[in-house]
Amino acid sequence: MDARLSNKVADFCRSGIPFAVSVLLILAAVLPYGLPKSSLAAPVLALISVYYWSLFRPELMPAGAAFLLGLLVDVLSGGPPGLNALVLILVHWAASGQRRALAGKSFAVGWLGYLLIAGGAAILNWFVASVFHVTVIESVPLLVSHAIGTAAYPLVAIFLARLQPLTRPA
Amino acid sequence: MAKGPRLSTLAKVAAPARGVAQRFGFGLLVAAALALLVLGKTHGDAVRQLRVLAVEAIAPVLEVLSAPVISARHALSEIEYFWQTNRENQALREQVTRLAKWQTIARNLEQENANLRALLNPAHDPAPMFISARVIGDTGGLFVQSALLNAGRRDGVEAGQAVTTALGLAGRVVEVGQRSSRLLLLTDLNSRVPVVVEQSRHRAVLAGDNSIRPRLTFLPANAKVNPGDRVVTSGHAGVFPPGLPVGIISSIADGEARIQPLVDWARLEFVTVLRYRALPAGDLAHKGAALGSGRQSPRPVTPGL
Repeated sequence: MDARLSNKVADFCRSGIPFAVSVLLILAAVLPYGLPKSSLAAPVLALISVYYWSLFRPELMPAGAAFLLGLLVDVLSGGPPGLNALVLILVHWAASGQRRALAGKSFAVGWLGYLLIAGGAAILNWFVASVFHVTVIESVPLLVSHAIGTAAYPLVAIFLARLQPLTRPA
Repeated sequence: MAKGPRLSTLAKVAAPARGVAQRFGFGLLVAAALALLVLGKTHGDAVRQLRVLAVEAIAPVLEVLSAPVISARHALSEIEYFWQTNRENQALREQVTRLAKWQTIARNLEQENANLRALLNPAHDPAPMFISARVIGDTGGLFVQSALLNAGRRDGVEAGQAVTTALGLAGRVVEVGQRSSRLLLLTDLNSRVPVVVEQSRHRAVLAGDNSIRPRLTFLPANAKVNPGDRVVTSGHAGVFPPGLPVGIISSIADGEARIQPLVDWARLEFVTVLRYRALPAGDLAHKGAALGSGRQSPRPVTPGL
């Protein structure tokens, strides 16, 4: 009885790893490192993390979790409220919907999937923010952030892949 | 290897029920996000208030997490200094000689200014008081240029106050919580700062557009400005004290001037929040106050009558 309870607690903690790691990544990204463009890190890391877990452990990164992570990014950034929440739910939807095509294949396929899905996210981001601010927003920062995200994807994905075995039930 | 089959059997059993639930939940979440966006547009203040509360909750965590980051930055800059001490010394010596001349000139001007003020009896700019704050979050993102500060209402921070660094204006406070606040940088899309070109005294509004070089808008058509001209706050609208250095005109193309802010964004660490009121009650009594407080600037004010 006791052992089963502690097993359950341990499983619960394990299943929380993807969300907790994403939160930590976002918080770590906004710290004042004094590096140029570091303010782009939080949305990019959130995107990578949601994409990765939606692809490889979708049951541990439900749409609600993606929504909450987006909300956290929105609160920190002070940007249009709900923007990142919307983007991340749709990223979750796209990534978990394309599991058959993307998961379990080579690393490059996962990377290509990120390139495409994050590209769609960037366009959506730009469109919603432009409507929100009622101007045509400069798209260069978005391209820069998409490039940074795509370049950073392998590093972050390798880090998350290291953590992935921890999420498996004992 | 073991992962694949187990997942697929699980998926087979639970798929129909979960599919429905997920689709429903998914639609609900999309609707919630869209509703938030609409609310953010129609009830911006209420949503902002909620965000301030959320930031209040996160700020202590960020403060703790940012401490080691800042220590590391200090350590790195120490090492950098150590390597460059010789060159730095040389440069500083030259600067000291140069500034010594300026000091003499400034003293003379200060004295002359005080004498002339005593003669003219002009309205006096109140000396701004200030609050020092630490940047605890380099937030913002794609479309926002903002930072979180660890000072809030309890420290006297109010929305609208100017935030400067030793080099120049960084932006203004837009959201204030009890012990944290959000600084909107000059470069943000929503940033508008009334400025004046220091040499020609042409007024303009510095408008951010999320690029690193905000542009000067509402510059008179006949204004003659050149790259390299300094731009300072004009003090119009009474939000910012006049004369704070803002930036240097970097380029003029198609009648559009862009400025390079003086702030070193990469070293935004400690900032000064200015508690400034253009017309504080009873301040006119201090008309002869000493000019010692540094941040004051001689604004050409003509008495109303």
